[in-house]
Amino acid sequence: MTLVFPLPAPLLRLLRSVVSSSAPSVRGAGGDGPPAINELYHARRLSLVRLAVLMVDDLPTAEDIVQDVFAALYRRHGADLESVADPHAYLTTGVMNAARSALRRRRSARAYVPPRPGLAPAAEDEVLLGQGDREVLAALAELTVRQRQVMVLRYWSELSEREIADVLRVSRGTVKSTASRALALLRGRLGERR
Amino acid sequence: MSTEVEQRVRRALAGRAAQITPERLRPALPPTATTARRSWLAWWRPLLVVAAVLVGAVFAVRGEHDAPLRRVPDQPAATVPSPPAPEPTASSAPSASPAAVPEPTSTPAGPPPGPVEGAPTGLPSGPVATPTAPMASP
Repeated sequence: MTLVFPLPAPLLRLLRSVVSSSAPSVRGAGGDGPPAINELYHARRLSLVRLAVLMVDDLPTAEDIVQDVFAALYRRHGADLESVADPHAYLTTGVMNAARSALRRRRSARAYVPPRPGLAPAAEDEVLLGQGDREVLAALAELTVRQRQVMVLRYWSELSEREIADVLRVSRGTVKSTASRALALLRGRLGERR
Repeated sequence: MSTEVEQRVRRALAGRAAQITPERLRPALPPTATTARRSWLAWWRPLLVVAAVLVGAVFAVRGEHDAPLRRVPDQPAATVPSPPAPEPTASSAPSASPAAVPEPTSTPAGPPPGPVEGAPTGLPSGPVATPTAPMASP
């Protein structure tokens, strides 16, 4: 005689996560499925922080964003990530969404409390950047969040229009029009400053 | 085929990204290490809830089963004190008293025998017994 107790879904998910976390969480690089979350973390953390920095401009916020995205991924899908079709795209989308939220919060906060004028960037940030690069970055900061996302994904991540559309969950036409509009704005602003 | 603006954007983004080196990152743990503790704590919470529900259910079921058993011993307790006092009215009173007011009748019935049994040490019965003896002996 077998007794079957129907467990509630949260309890099942909990048990699954406990079992999956007790299993070896770092899988070998030659595994068949997607990489385990720890391996993914060590492989992608730096590039994702760079991506977030290009969006939000400051390193501590970028690090927090990346850490939160990994924590959310682990909470939702466990350590083995078997249920995630493309963990890299998932992380990129997560970072982009979190950066967008951070920028929106910051912009709404600045509407009430304007930033101090003449706030100098960190000395380390000045070392590698020339005047021209700083002008471009300043012009990028004036774009809308969506335009900036498209610019960063296209010219730093080197994603195609289709990949950008998948990451941002918009149509390919939207990506194309957003990119051309952003480039026109940059061209105008950088041309004006020259 | 990229325009000059595109090249400038690409160069500026690459330069900004190159500033972020592994040494500049804060030391951080992978999510399995940081959220494991939280999940371990959270693992006990549903267990505690389930245990509390089970304990509550056990008490509820026990309460239902124990309720009639407690009433049965109450009835003899109410009838025991009644026979000694009202023997003449036993035919009418016992049938009504156990069902109607078992508890109140038992508690008042208790105290009367108590003082009577404990009376020899008390004041009222002592003087009554002692005067009769000297009066009868002379």
